[in-house]
Amino acid sequence: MTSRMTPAIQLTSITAKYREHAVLKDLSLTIQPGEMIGILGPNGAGKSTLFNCVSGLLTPTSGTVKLFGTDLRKMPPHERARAIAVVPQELEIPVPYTVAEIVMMGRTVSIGRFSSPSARDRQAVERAMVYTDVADIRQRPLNELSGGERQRAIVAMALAQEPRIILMDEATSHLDINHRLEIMQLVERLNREEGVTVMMISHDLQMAAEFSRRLIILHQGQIVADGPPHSVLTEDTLRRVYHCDVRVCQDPKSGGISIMAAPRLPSVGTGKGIRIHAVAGGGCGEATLRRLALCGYTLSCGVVNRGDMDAEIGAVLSVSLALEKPFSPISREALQVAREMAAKADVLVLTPIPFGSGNLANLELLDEALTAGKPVFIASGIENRDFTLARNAEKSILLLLSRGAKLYRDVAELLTLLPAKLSD
Amino acid sequence: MTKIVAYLLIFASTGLLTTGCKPTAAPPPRSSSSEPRVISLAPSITEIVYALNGTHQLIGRSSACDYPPEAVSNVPVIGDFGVPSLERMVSLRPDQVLYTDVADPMMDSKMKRVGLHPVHIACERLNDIPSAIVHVGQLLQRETEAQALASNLVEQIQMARQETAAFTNRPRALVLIWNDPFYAAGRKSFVSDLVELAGGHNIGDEINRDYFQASSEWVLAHDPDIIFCFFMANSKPVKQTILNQPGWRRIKAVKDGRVYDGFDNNVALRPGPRVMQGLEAIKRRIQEH
Amino acid sequence: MHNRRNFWLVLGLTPLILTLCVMMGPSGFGLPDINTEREIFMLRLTRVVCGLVIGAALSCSGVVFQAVLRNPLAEPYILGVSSGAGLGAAIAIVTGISALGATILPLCAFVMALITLAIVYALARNGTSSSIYGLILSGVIVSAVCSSLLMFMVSVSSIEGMHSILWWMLGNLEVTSYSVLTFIGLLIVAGCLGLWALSRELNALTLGHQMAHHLGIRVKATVVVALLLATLIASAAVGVAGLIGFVGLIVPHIMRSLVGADHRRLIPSAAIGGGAFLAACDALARTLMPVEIPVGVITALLGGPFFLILLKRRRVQNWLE
Repeated sequence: MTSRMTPAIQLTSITAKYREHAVLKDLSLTIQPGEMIGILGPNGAGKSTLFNCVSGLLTPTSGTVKLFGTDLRKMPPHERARAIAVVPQELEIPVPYTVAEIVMMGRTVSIGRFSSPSARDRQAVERAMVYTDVADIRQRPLNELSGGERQRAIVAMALAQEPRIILMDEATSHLDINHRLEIMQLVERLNREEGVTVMMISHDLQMAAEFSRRLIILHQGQIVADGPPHSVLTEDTLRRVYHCDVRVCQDPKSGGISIMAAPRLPSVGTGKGIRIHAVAGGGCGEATLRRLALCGYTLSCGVVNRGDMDAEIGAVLSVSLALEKPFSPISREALQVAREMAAKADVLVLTPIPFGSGNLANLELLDEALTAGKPVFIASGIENRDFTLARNAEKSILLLLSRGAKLYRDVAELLTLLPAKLSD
Repeated sequence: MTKIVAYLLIFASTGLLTTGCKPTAAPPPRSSSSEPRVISLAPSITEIVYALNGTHQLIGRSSACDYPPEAVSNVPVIGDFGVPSLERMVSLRPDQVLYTDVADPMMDSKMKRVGLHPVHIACERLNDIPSAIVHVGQLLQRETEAQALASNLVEQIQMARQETAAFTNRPRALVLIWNDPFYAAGRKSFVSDLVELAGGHNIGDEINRDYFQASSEWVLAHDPDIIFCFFMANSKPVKQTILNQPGWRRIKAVKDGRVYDGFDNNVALRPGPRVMQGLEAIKRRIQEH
Repeated sequence: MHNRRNFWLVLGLTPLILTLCVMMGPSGFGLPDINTEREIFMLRLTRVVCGLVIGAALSCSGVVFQAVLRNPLAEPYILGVSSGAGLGAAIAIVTGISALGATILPLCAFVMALITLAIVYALARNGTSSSIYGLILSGVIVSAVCSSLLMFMVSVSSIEGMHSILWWMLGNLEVTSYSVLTFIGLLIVAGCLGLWALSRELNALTLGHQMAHHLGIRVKATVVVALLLATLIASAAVGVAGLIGFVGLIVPHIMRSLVGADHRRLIPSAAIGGGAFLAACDALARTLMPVEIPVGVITALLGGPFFLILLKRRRVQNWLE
């Protein structure tokens, strides 16, 4: 009766570090028995670290991990192995174990040190092999099998543990689509029929959405979305987390979610022949300049200081630059060069750069462009980047916005706003 | 690893070097069942046994015991010098096993454990030889022959010593036993005794070892008057080897043409009954001028 | 199901091989008469027993090192046992204390091997890299330092001392005294049994330390105990017999291809098979030539080609892909 009430996995404000670098930050999560959960997030978001905390490989620096109400730190290894099994992405097995031997390893802690497997152990192994359909190949050495068969044997080993929780760490990412589906259906069946709690990391958003009833998106060590697939997989969240544009469609009949790459400039349009003048500096314009250059726009940039990271990136991307001496405020002469560049440009873009008194003059370029009737795009969030004493930059930008300049959040959004020509 | 191999080769050769004999005409004696039967693990001991007319008592030898060939070739070999086979020795049922030096530092206790009676014969330096002869003579129950041979030898050594004792201007000699790298005889070597007795001075005496690796710089700094080469294996003429050493042309011995080779190494380096022969060979070169 | 059959084959063939070994010797082929040729019989018997024990120690520790370090090229000397023991032997020979008693030299080699190991483990603990690579790295470094010291001792010793050190390093199965053989033999048998008891942990560890953790193994403790036992028996073997190569590297692979990778079967068959292999190699070393050949030469000459034949067949390849 308690297992009904106690959560299968309960993380209470855990922080985990890897080499002094916090990978998980004050993360709390509760998972009920019988849930099937997909964990999503870009590389480095902390997914694997989360798994390592749940499986006990890593002890969080603070916070507690409980499995079925028992603190993981107080759980002896053999009990933990009965509670939780892990299916890794790939298991490199250097010695020629047969399938049967591998599956029997799931019973490692059940078999006594000096005894042979009991009838109970054999039954569990047999069942696991039948479930995963590897009973016919039980005598084959694992390293002679195909990727799908191997992975099924590994799943069988996890099943032989008779765990109440299974963690799948990108367990299907190396497989062909048919084997991938096969494994997923197998796990789904386990979850339905046996009530096994399943937690899986996946990079395949669509498959995760299809098989999980609850999705969790991790980003920079924190949970940024948690809920049913349709509420988690929004264009907005995905853009924020993965920094890319996707289109999420829900099939009105089946309720299935499909995720497609959103139309991007390079595929449907090109910036060829369109001139953009960007105001950058301090390395903050790097991403913008690179993406714009990739899309074929003709770029100019300035005023930036010589030796500035953006100036160097610009030089690499053959952007025309209006340069100022290193560590000097913008001079009249440099601003005049930039003004001539801006005059030739079709569009002006203000990248998310910080402002001080030295580079405030750059805002004059935008003002002049608006006067000339050109579109001006301004990176949002100026309130955090204005370091002038009287917050002059923020005031100027508010003025620019009132005169018709448009805000953008990130490069992905900027690209949708910029004018483009249809490609051939 | 190549270093280890080099050392091994050096050892193998020195092992063979420090072993030898004396051709005193001896009628083959009758064997008597009461005479003790022995195994000799060193060429110098084998030569002593032969010199005492005891070859019929020798029932085993090392592969290095090669002198005199006609007398020992029929004696069974029980192993290489320094590495005898216990089983072969046991199967020969000797009364005693005489050895000077074995590779395995525990060989003595191993031999005792399997019921052999090992006897260590100290026979490394010039002055050891007479007492070694007496010791072997006692073991073979040939005290009379041994006493005669030993006192004769002592006498000869005494005479040689008197002859050269007055030498004031001793030529300074370098004795090389290996050429790559150069190994020279030090103060603790048998050949150093011979050089001294022959009226020379071994420049290696300043090193308190039997043999040591000598650098070119060391040799150049000592500028020997004479160089003796007792190299074991030589494809090139020894003199050529010496001359080819960078800078060695300005060594006195080389300039004076006093680099000598072509010795019977066994005679000169083996502390056995043939010691006087070895001494003569060295003396001849030293007193050549 | 060839594995089970091969297991019994190894077990059954071993007494035959050992009997054959006792029949072989430089003084003639045939079983020595216990009454008239008691010494020769005992000589051969102790060498065969010594070969059995040393071979078992080397191949068992080879199995364990390969499993725990998950490296097919791991061998019993990987953590610096050999150079440490060599240094100990050299010290005993050069200082002359080896002449004081029959047990001194093996004891010095054994103790120095243990000291070297302690240093290797201590260095690995302080290392920041993951434990296995830290271990191998500090093993390599400490080995190199010990080898240099050994070369130093060889270069300053007399010709006789040099010969003794090199002779010892070539390896030899002739035991100095029965008490040494008994002591080392019991140590090795206990060590092998201890490792056998760790079979299920070793099985899990071959899947990687993370997977072993998931299967419920106390990874750190098991790795430490297994490596300690393996190095202990390897040091004991080196102390008695010197450096005998190839047995600890090749016998585990041969046995794995014969009886499979399950350590429950692999450890006993490696112990017995490795012992029989070394005893047979030693019998050949004693009889092939008029002069005894170092047994390490025979193990390499026999083991190498046999290993290559197995490599041609499928199963060992998996290790090396």
